[in-house]
Amino acid sequence: MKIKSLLISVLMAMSSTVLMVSCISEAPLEIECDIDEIYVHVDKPLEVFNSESDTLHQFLPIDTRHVFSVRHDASLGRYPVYIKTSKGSTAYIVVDGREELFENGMPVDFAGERIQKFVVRCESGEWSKTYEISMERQPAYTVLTEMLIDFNGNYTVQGTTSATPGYYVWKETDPVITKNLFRAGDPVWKNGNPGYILSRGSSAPEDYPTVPVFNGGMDGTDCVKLHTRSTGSFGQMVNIPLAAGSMFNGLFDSSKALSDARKATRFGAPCPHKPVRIEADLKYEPGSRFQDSEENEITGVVDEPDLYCVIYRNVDENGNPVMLDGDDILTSKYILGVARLQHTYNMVWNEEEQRHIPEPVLTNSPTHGVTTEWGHVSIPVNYDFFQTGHENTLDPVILKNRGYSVVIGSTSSWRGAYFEGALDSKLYMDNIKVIFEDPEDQGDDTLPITSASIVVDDPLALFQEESDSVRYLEEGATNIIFPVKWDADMKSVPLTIHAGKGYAVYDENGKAFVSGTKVDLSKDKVLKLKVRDSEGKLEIVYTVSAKFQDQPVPTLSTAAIIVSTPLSIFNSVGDSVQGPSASNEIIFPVRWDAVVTSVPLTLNVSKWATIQDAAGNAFVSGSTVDLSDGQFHQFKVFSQDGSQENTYKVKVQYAGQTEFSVSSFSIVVQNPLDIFRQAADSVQTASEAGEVIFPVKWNADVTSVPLTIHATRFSTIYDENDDTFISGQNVNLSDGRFHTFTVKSRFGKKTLTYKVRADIGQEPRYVFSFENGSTTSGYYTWSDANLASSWQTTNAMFKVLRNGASVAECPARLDGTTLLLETTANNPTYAPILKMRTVPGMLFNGTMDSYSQQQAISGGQPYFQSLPHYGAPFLHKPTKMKVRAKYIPGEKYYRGNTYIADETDSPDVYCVFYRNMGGQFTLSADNLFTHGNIAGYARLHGSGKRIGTTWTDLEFKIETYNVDAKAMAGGGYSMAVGATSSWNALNMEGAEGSRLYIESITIYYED
Amino acid sequence: MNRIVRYATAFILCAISVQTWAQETNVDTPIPVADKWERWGPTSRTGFGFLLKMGYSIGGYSPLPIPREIREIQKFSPQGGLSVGVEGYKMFNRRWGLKVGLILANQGFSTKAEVKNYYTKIVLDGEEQKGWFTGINETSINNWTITIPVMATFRMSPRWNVSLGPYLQMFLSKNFDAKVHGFPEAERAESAYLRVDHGDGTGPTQDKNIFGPDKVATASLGKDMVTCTTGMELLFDWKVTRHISAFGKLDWGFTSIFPGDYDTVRFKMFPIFGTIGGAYSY
Repeated sequence: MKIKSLLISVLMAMSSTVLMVSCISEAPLEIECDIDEIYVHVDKPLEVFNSESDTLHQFLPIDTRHVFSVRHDASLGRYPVYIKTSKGSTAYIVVDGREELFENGMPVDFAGERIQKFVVRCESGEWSKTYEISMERQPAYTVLTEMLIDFNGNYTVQGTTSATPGYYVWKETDPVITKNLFRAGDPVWKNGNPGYILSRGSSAPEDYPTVPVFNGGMDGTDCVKLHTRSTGSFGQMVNIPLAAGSMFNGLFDSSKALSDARKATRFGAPCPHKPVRIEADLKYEPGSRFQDSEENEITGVVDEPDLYCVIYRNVDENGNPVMLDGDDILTSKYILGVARLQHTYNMVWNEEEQRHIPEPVLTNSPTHGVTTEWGHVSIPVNYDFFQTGHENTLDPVILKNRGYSVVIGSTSSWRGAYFEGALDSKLYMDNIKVIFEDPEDQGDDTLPITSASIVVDDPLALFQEESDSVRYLEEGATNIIFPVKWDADMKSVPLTIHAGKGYAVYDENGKAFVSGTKVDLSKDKVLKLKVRDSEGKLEIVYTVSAKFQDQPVPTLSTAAIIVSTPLSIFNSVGDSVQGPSASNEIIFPVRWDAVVTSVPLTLNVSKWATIQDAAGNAFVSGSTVDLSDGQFHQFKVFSQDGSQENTYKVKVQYAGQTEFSVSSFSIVVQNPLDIFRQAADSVQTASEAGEVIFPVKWNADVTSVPLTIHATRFSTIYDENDDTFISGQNVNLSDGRFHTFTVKSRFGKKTLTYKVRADIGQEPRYVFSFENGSTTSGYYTWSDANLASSWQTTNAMFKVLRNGASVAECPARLDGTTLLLETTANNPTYAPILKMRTVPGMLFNGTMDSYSQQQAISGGQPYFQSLPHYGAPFLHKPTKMKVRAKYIPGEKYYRGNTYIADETDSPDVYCVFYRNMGGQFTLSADNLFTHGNIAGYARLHGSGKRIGTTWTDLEFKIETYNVDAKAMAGGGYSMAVGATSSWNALNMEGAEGSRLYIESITIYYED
Repeated sequence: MNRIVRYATAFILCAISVQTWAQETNVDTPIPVADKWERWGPTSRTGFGFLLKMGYSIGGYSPLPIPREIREIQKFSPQGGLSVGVEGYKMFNRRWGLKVGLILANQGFSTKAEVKNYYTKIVLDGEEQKGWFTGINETSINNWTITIPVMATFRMSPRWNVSLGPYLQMFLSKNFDAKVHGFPEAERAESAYLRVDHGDGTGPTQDKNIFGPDKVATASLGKDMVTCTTGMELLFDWKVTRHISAFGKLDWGFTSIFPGDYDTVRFKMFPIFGTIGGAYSY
């Protein structure tokens, strides 16, 4: 042994280390996604529920739906809901098709019995489960005296998968039964089949313990066969060797079917009626070998069937729900009454509970009386089943509030819950009738017909109020009239007549009228019923009919504009659906810039209603309409028969305009440089004052130019005549004045005003004026920024000749602000020498050689002529010269020193444009107007124009020829501008005192 | 299976007779034992040789790594473990050679583990229950196998030898019994259950089959096992005497004992076994 241990440990070291190294990883993510429990919180639970315990529901693992059964008069609304879900899972509630995280306590809307969907997703995310939760009102209490459970045709095979053929399931369809024996939303008869599939899933549906027999009933219709069967090896393994066939109302919790089978069967449903008797058609074949739960044969025992009706209190002393299960279905202390097939018991006294508990006794001589041939049994409900010595009584209020549950149960082996029985015991069962106590019987009611009712699944489809489905008759009344909805389909409705004790009801033909028979109560149909008393002496004729309500006023619930891009019209998608206001107005709030000239308008109107538009044409919901005017559009809704109508008005309400501006103004032409100095000038923005100025060329043609105003869309523009102006339209800006434009926002609430004009440039020119002359040298000198040289005058020379002459005596000087050129007397000493009696007032641009007396005297006239050099470089081509001047000729005219009678002096003003040969050449006195380099000139003298003695404006055109633009741009041309008070002064002529006043000389040029 | 056993027996008998013949031819020419390598080396000049081996195996079938669904291994106990076989070798030089074996071995063990959401299938008499099980899972396994390793062998020292190479393993008998049941603790009585898979894609959302403390379900999965697995063998042996050696080896499976698409056990189970024993070389 020691060696073996050693061996093992060595081997462990070698191999199992590998196994053990791979240690246990983290727990797997949870994969379950059940709701275990749901609780709905209601402040006053008893106003909504029959008992407080109904607010809590525990789900079975396979459940996916719960219907809270609420009082028939409960008003349903939003209640906080709490759920407990599988570990690690997350719950969502489905809102408008989207899943939203659900948190406990969130209110859930149960109004209108709507079904709320919850989706639970497991922690691993792999699985999910969808639950449906709703509240459903119980039907209003109506008298019920009996119900027949016939099991006819209401079964289907379910649970079919690749591995399991499935099993039969009975779904109750008779509303009388579902409303009184079943919980809301679960009208399924329960049996052990869903448990059997766990143990012998491969069985054919017919081989399950509970199966239908087609046309196998005593009356030739379908019946049910309950068959005690072996559960196979799987069932044996879990110590459930046998499964008895069963059928009951209640719940079957298949999760407990194998572990705790008796707890899996939970019996009964709240019922507001007191059962007094059950009847049934039965046939029974006991199996041959009775066995115990370990499959040991018990000899001398014959198997027995069971059929029972139990009524019990479904809430305990503490308000907790009570639901009987396989352990206490026939022994619970909450039981008030039992009707059961007869068996043999030992009644054992329970001191504590002061009652007998029946202990079943196995026997070979059963007393149930059911044979292998069909037979009818009738068993009264024993309200002292536990032999206490007094009958249990029911509280009528609790009864009406469904505080008691009623069970209808059956099985093929009465001890099947304890896995005892005989295999192949078979109970055939059909037409179970439950007879309830008739509350009217309790009173001294003797009316032949006390009430009539129409019991259907969905009473609100026929009746305005559920209570309308029951008519109680006053004494003497023989007309039974059901008020029904205008559109109720009364062609075939089940009519229940509750006749008084001792009265029988017959139809018109004298045949017995069976309650529940379907009758035709449609419009104008009157059903006649005859009621006879037991002795057949009395016969009263009753009429049954339906009174249809007037057609309701047709209504429009919602209107919608459904487009593919709602946000181009609406600020939020939700705005696209609108309900009517109290005054039937439907207003769609739309974006300020919405285009609603053609939008589809959906009008949701009540059933059958038709729609007409304002023009009286039929309107088909969803047709396009033009709502752009923002005005109401009328729609009339008519009821089906046209007798009722309703008028609605639909309009759009534009939102306030959020953006409104004019970004720019532009003049867009093919060649902007024809108009503008630069292309960028063609686009302008407004100044703060709203002024828009287009600077255009002086000679541009702006009599008709297209003006574009870039305003926010949907704006309207008006010109100064209040005419609509379309952006891009031609305007005449040649007048240079402001033109007013008014821009209005889409709905005219905002206005912007602009003034637009063209700034037409001046013809380019230089204006030479002389008011800024300076006298620093003892005589006037002038300079001008626009000249490439200074103004030259004869003043310097004159001062040499007449040294000591004052500023005011010089030939060029200012008279006020005006230039005055005066032909001034020479120094008498030099005049003869120079042959120059006068010194002219001269002014020109250029240079002047300096002058000395000596030179003058020695050089004389020719020298004087050689002094001036006219002109300075000028980069433009002069086109015009304007002069404003006046002239007063001197008295005595001299040529040299010689007086010339009858000769009148005259001034000269000129502008000469010439080639300067690269700056090397200037004009001089002898060639000023004659040199071959001259490209053009203007001159007063010889022009035929005259300067008068008063202010005279003269204009001279300068014709130029062969100007080399490139050379001109490079400074290759000069311009000489000048004036003189005696035109021929350089030839020593002039009249002393000739005065030329010049206010300005203007030279125009080409740009 | 019987055929395989017959072949194996024939092979062993054949090996013994060849050895007998070899002994006869070599009996008069003792090998010089001048150096240690010669002294512990192969008993034949040609470098051929046979060994008869017997040993004890221990190990198990394990998913690697252990899946999250297995929460706690409560028990692991080896069972059986007999390993007998024959090995032939050929040394190409003093150090390197090739070894081929034929080993009959018994693989047995039982485990008990707590599992959670463990996908499984319980099959009985053709009835089956598939689904996610939470509770206790016990397995009991006992298989006979034939293993044929083909290994390179290397003499690390005159007495120490190491061999490594692939093997092919065939199951002669297959027994894989599983058993699931609830938790024995009363407070966890309702915590063990099978969420039934109805195969309709709805997952563990339908029937819940609670396994109380004494509820047991079993399944035999042996018939679903594959016929062959492959793996690697690592073998050490040490010469006790010139003819007798002790060995230890590790057989590590690389293929699962269940087919790849097997949905009852959804993870791969690799056989991993260690063996120690003795050998006699002729």
